[in-house]
Amino acid sequence: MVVYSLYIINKSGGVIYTYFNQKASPQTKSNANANLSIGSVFHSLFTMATTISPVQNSSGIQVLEANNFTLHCLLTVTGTKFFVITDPSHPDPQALLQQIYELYCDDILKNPFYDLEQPIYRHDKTFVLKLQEMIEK
Amino acid sequence: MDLKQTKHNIVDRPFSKESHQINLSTFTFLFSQFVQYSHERVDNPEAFAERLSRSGQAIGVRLYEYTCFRAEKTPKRECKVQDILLFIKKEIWKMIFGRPAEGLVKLPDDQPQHYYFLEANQFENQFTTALYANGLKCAPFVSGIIKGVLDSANFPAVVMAATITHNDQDSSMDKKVGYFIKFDPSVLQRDEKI
Repeated sequence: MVVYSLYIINKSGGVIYTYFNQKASPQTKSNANANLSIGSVFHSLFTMATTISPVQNSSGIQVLEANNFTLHCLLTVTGTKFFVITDPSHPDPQALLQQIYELYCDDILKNPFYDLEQPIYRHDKTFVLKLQEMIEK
Repeated sequence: MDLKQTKHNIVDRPFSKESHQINLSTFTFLFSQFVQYSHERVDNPEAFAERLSRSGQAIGVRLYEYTCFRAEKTPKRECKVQDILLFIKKEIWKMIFGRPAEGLVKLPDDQPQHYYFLEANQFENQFTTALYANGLKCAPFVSGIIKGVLDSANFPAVVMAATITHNDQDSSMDKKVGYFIKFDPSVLQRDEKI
């Protein structure tokens, strides 16, 4: 049921938001540079996966499973990607992603002072609080 | 044209008995574009507030006319400061936000302003992050509307918006917005005579 972290990536592969669940893994320090490269590497992997896929119009990586975590990715029609890293026991990460996507549409895109494709302000309190509630519940 | 079609024709509906509910999301996107447009064309917070306020005034002038016509059976001209403020509190607010204003407060005589409207959770601040240190966001737009209404009702006034923080709660989410009204001296003199 534990969500470790969330990344939001814009359509050119830049990381615009990261969230780390400090309760779930207190020893993880959020390192801005490392986050940027993790996000970009995932973006590249995603693009490669679509290219090498034997089937036409592949939707890229949706799930990545490991022994102690799973990664679920949601690609929106506009090219923005959301991915969460969760415990393998999490029942429905796709639903969670959908909720986060909804929150992003509601609270970020309606803000007149937000520039599209740019990093999301840390001081957007309503967004951060709602996200926290969603992830840590 | 058959009867059924006539029934659904928008032009044939009664003019004044419509509910004015619109979708908040759709409206917010429109409002957001408007704010962005205004914001791109200025280079400092004062000019931004001024620009929003001017847009609001243009709306206020029209809204007064329109609300007078719709809200009352026999439209009448308000002459007293109290009456026009109550009119704004009830009718104008209902027209814009769908409910009366939360509070109308009279300030003591030694204050530079005379009255203020108090509001929490205004739509114009609901989705915005504060861009400038004063945390004002888009409130000057609504203060512009109020100024437009007052001006066209012949109560020249200066209206400014300010955030009000309560001492007991310092969280920026619970800040309320006050729209402070300062009437022209001529208005007050006239009001005393009536």
